[in-house]
This record gives sequence, C-alpha cells and structure tokens, in this order.
Amino acid sequence: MNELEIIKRIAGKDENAFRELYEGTSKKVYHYLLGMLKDPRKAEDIMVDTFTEVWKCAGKFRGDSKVSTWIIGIARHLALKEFGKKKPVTNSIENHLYSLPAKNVAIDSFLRTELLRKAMEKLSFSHREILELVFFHEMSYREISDVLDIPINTVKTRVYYAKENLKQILENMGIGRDDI
Amino acid sequence: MISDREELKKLIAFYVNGTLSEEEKKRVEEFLGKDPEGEKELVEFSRIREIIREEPLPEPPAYIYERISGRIRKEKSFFQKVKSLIGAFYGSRAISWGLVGAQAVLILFLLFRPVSPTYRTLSMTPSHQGVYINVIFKDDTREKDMRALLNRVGATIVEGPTEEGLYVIKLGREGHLKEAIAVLKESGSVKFVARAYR
Repeated sequence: MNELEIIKRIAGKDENAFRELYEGTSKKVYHYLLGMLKDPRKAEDIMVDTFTEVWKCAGKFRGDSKVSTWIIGIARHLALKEFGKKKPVTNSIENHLYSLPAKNVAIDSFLRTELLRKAMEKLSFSHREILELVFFHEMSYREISDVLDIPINTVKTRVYYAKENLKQILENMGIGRDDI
Repeated sequence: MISDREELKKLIAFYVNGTLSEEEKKRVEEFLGKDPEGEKELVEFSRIREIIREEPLPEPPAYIYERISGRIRKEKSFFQKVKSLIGAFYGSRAISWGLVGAQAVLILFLLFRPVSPTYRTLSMTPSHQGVYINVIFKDDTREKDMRALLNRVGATIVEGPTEEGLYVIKLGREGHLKEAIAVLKESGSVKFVARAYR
C-alpha cells in the first residue's frame, strides 16, 4: 500500500493503517527529535503529540511532499512550540578534547570517521539539522524549505555552509580542512 | 550576481541525496565532469552522507505507541459518539418529526406573540379592567407626600415610574375618578394628571 492510501485510511480512522505508518516512520521521527532535543523524555512526549496530530489531521494531508516529511514538519513545529524558548541543544563535548597537536596529521580511516562524527556533533543545531534532513531524511531542497519554513536559496546556502563549518571544526581539531 | 558555477556547487548535496530533477542532475554531472573543485565537493558531501547514514537509529520505546494508542482511542470514541448522534438524529423519524413540531411551535409563537407597543402617550396605557390615572409628580415631591396623596384618593401604584416619571395608579372605585383627579391637581405635588384608558 502506498503512503497516500495509508493516509486516506487513517483519515477514515483506520487504526491498522495508523500502526503501519507509525512502524514505517517512528524511528526517523524519534531520531530527528532526539537530535533536536537531546532528551529522550522530551522526545517521547513530542512523539506522542506528533502522531496524535497525524491521526487527527490525516485528512488535511495534501500529498505535496512525502508523508515522512510532513510528519517531521509537525514534529519540528510541536517541539519548537513546546521547548522553543530554549535554543536547541548543541553537543557540549569540549572543543579541544579531540584536538591533535599538529595539523594535517596522518590518520587512518577508522579514526577519521570517528573524528568526523565528533565534528558533526560540534556543529550548530541548524547546520547539523540541515545536513541530517539532506542525508538522513533524504529530503529535496523544496521539502526542507517547507519543513524549516525558509526560502529555497537559504536551504542551499545553509547546506553548503554547514559543510564548510564542518571543515573548519575539523581544522580546529587538528585535521586538515581537506581531509574529510 | 550569483554565478552558475556557485549555484551548481550548492546543488551537489542534493545530487548526492538523489532528489534533483533529471534536468538539474544533468547540469550537475556536466559541471562535475569539467570542474575539479566540483568533484572535491562531491567527495566531501558523499563522506558526510556516509557518516550520517552510518549512525545507528535509536529504537523508540514500545510504550510510546501505547501512549499514542490510548490518545487516539479516546479521540476515536468521541468521534464515533458524535457520528452516532448525528446518525441517530437524521435516522430517527421520531426525532425528525419532533424537530419539525418544535420548529412549527416556534414559528407560531413568533407570529402570534403579544407585542407590547414601543411608545405610548401619557393618557394611554394598555387596556386592563378598573379605573386608572396617569400621574407625574413634581421633581421635588417627597415620597412621604406622594404616599399621603395616594392614600387620600384611595389609589395604589400599579406601574412606574417610567423614565419620564410617569406612574399609573389604580383607584378603588370608578365613581371616585373626577374627585381623585381634582384632589391630585390641587395638591400642588403633581405636574400632570389624566385618566388612563387601559
């Protein structure tokens, strides 16, 4: 059954269809909320609110985007509404913990992956968020523009600068800018 | 002005995630084929994608669905109650005819309800049995004097005062009307007095 059919059935209050949708999307939504809120309890509360909203508003889904994009948009909106007063959490690992003494140190592939992951954690929330929307949720720039409510050009520019910022963080960690 | 090259560089991330249109994809591929910097961008974004996709997906706890399920069942039962009420309403002859009857009663009431006049003259009040007099006392008349005067003519107040200070008083017996009006006029406490036709 395709996404639109599932949504139509949910609009008709079909609980089995809802369960199917939940199983297909909940991991991604939970992952997104955990990344945003850094607190499993808060993420769980927003998950409950998000999927309840999906149940209530399935009839309003226009089909302009993927269902998962629509759900993440709802989750983001609810999370910002609930916890928006505080800035989304940026990882607090000390900046210099992983700094290496010299620049352009030769590093093996495993270590490089680890460092890159740590560098990702140090990115600002908006940069980390946009990279995740592009590469984890595989959204188009139009979908991201809808979810984040920003112009398409801002989406493209933000993705580009997120990568540049990541390279800068790597450099601060003692790894060559070009050693991604 | 943003160059085409810069614009294409910004599309590389979306080339990597596979969401570009065929036309955009073609343009990016042409760009990658002739610009080494573009090729480097492609490698960097591919690496970032790899790292992000490698991240283990946390499993949401099972009780989350239980919580959601509880909520939607509540919502569903409310929805069904409303639906069945609407169904019963439209499905039942008794309710439908009851509604028609209630509407008919309402229409009849609105058509034939007693309408009170929105204005009246000082000598005219709605018709009732008995002898009535319209009186307006002077502004400086004390309540004690009013009471004494009404007792003297054997009348009681049945209406008023209105905004204009009009009272309707009722006399004890009809033959007393002329005398009562004369007493009221001579008292010096009233500025208007006339029989009220009710």
